[in-house]
Amino acid sequence: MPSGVANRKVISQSQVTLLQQWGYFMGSENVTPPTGGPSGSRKKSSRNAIIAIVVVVILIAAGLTAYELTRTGKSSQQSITVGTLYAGSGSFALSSGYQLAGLKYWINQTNANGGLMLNSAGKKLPLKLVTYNDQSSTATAQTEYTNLITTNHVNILVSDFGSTLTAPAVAIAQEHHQLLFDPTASSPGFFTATNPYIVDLSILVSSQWPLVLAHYIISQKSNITRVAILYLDQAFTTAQAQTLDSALVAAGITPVYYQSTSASSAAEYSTLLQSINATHPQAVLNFGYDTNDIAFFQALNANSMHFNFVFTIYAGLEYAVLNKQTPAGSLNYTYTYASPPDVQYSNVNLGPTTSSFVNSWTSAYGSGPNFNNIAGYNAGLLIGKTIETAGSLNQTALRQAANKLSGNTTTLEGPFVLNTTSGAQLGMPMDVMQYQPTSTGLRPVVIYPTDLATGTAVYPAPSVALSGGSPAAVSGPLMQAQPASQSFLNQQAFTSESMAAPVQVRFR
Amino acid sequence: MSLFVDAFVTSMLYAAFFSLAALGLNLVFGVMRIVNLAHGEFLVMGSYLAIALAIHYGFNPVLSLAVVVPLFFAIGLLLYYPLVPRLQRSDDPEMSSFILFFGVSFAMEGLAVQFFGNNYQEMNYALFRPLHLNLLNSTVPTAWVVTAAVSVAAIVAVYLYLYRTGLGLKTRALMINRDEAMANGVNINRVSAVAFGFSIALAAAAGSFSSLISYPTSPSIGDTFTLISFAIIIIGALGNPLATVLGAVVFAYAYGYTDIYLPNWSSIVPFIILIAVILARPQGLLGRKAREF
Repeated sequence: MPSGVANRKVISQSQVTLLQQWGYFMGSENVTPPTGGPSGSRKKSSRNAIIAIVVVVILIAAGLTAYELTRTGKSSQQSITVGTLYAGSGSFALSSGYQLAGLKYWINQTNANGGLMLNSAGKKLPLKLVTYNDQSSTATAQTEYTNLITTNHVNILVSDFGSTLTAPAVAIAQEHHQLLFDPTASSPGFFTATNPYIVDLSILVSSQWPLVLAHYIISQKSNITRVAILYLDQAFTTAQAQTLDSALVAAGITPVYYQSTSASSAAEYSTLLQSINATHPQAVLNFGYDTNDIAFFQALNANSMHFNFVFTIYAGLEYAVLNKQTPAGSLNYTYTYASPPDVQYSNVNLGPTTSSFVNSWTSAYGSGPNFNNIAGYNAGLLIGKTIETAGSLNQTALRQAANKLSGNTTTLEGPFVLNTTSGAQLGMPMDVMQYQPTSTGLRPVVIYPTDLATGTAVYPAPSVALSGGSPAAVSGPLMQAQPASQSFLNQQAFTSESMAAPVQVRFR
Repeated sequence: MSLFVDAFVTSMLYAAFFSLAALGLNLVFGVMRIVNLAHGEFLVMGSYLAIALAIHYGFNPVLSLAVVVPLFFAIGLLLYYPLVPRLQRSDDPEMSSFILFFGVSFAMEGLAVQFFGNNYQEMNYALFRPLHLNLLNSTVPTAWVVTAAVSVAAIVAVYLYLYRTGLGLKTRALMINRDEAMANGVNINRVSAVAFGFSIALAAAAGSFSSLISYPTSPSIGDTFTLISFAIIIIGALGNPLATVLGAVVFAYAYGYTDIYLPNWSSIVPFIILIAVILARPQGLLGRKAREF
């Protein structure tokens, strides 16, 4: 039983007792008022005084007990409850499922090792996971985040995937003084000096993502001056588009097309691509989530369009899904962010190296992890270390412990560097890579920054005669590969398929 | 210029699809004076069925019409008898239908969430080969052209039903004057039930193609289709099924051009035109003809 729960119970019983006594006291006066006479009045007063003393004594005893339990932490705490949400369906279902799978992998691994050491309990405690399905709905998420805090009394609150589904949690966590462990939400607006109840664990704050990309495009100014930027009107993607736009404009490259959209289908992207095509861009950058990227590539294919440079976020983050659900050849020469597992970290001081994790995950599930699997696992690693460093489940102490880890911790996802005032993540950089076709499949080649590059970019991208649809997509709808909501707690469903070709890795 | 032509061609194809999407709604209003606010939900259900047929049996959506249309026609007939006659006995059938179908739409959306989840689903363009066609020097997905062609065929079929069949004649009689039609021996329930069945079937047929040319299918997208359909029939003329085509052309061109030139305005401009039409011609662009069947 978490200490907070125990305390609440004691206080609650006292309050009930007090209310009962008070109600009786008030009731007795109302129903049977003093009948008059000095003797009767004195008798009544003395009885009331005794009741009042008893109530005060009970309250003091309850308070002292609660204080002692809090101080020592040696309550009936038998486990550490981790609460999170997942999207069983909707536009974030895939990514959310991947993140949850990574987190569950860490929980299972930790429990297999006896749990997490909690100094205040004086022993290792197992982790207990509580989840609710928000169905990609922010309204549902709002209710369920509140339930996790007020009904389940979770010790550790972890947000669902991405900025959209994390947004409702930020204010709720702050209101309840509960630290929000944020695996993959990176909207800059979440992180302020006035809110100490959030910490970004596994993802660079989104406004910083395209910095390396912007430098790369600027470095190619002799070839690329006409840039088209299309972005989804969500915090995560808008922040990236704004950063890229500002950086390019400052370097004298004013995008010829800069457009937000709420498009999610190939049909909607088709008309947007017509507009983009009319601007004759030398580079097209589409900032969206996985479903947007899939629709974008479907529309490119259906409209028979080809651009010399195409960048999307999820080509790299969820390669296997994109490769499976887009027409064959769509990802050829596509640019994307370079992140684990394509980028591998070997000099880690917390948890396994990237390659070691990839191996253990692959042997567990039969296919390699993707970025969001790793982000979920990485969040777990850092949560565990934060709890052990704090030595208690006090939410303020947990945030201070996270700050202590900042700057001196490197995990399979890279350096963990927090803005210790706001909780934003400044480590885990996003470089630029391009998928280049080989005889054995697509090869991810890191192309920028040059000192870390594993190859050079192919520009302009050769036009590829596309077959018109991947085998999986020809006879079925776009979302066919999405796991059904009923199977969402099945970890196996969240594993990604292995890469089409051996991954060319870069070690830091 | 190329972009302008692209927008023209795209809007033309949209117009055909939107006509099909809204046609059933206007048919029901014209015959029964009831507003089916669950129209979009029936469209979504048709879409889910077509997608399921594509997944499990590899059905092309054109082929799936052979299942979708009869099935939803039957559903329409079955729903008619417990719902519509009661509404028409009420003091204000239009308002009562508004409220009743508002509830039906919520119930259907909830059921869709239960059965299909909130996932976006869509047909794959690759179901049609070649993938794209050249139309007036504009390259468009073949799926859009097929969608438009099926829509035009459905509109022609409705026209032939209304103007070339005995039941169609009775349907038009009901649209013009219900009491006189009844006095002349028209079986109101039979004619209305068939019209209601057609309406639901047309919505479901539109749904079979909706994810190919407009929004991806999800439980909540039904409201959007109801709203678009409602706007189209108001622009054209309430109660006149064939005025729907004109309403759809106006709506589609407003939507198509803004979608290409000002994407963020594409969901606003068509409704500004709707307001303008209501202010200028409250009866709709073909409003007078609505009573001249």
